[in-house]
Amino acid sequence: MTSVDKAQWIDVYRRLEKPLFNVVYRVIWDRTESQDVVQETFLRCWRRKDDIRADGFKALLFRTALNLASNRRRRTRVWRIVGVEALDDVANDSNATDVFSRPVREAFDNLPSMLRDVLVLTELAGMTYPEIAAALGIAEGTVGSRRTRALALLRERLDVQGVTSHEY
Amino acid sequence: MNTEEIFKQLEPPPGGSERFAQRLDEIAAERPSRRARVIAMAAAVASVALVTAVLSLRPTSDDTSVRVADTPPAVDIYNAPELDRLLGRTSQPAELMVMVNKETANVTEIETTNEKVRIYQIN
Repeated sequence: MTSVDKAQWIDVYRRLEKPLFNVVYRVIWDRTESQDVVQETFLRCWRRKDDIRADGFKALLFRTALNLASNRRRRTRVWRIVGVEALDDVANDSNATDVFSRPVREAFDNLPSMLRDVLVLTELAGMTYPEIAAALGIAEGTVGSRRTRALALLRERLDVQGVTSHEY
Repeated sequence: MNTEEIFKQLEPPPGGSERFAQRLDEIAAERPSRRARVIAMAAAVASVALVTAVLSLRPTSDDTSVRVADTPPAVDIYNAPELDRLLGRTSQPAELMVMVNKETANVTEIETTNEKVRIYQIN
């Protein structure tokens, strides 16, 4: 790995860390874990860097991040079931409760993953419908319909004001 | 509650890029060189080929080829008269033998005017 290569990857990391972090955070609700998942995402992509196309890089990053976040969340739940108290705290990051109330977290958690993924990508990653369609392997029209359904579910559960559909 | 609150952009913990650079270095250091990977792959292929050769050349007790070679052929299939027409050979006359009640019967050939027809009388 050349220093130029490394510098480029770190630069890309700096630019995309925040949107990736926010997407992952809405899945696992832990700041430290979320940052770890973002870094793991970049490291996995770096290992495959010779096979990655530039036009598909962003989609690959977010798809990988969502997959890793889902896996991490599932693993945390399994540990909670088997009664590992120390790891139970991971899913109850105090920072999360400071920022988001429990109803907000539960509303996100209760969304079907296919709706939640679309919602976090449209609202937090700043991705266009075609980019999200490529990342999730669905049609562009499906992106819009899933976003509408996700917002409707959130509105029902949270009595959210001002949640309206808008086009990208 | 409004959408701005729900989709509020949070700042990641500080020092993320430095930690990422460190992890990148760690992985790069663990990564074997291209030459080492090629040598390892060649060794693996050679091992597989060697094992395959040993297994395929080793005689086994139920090896059918050994049994066939040890047993004298019962019938020479290639030279069987049944294959004459198939192989375009001229049929050779064969001695006719007829069994009646497990005993050899006397067979007398009766002359015909048609070369392709043969008539036998069994006594």
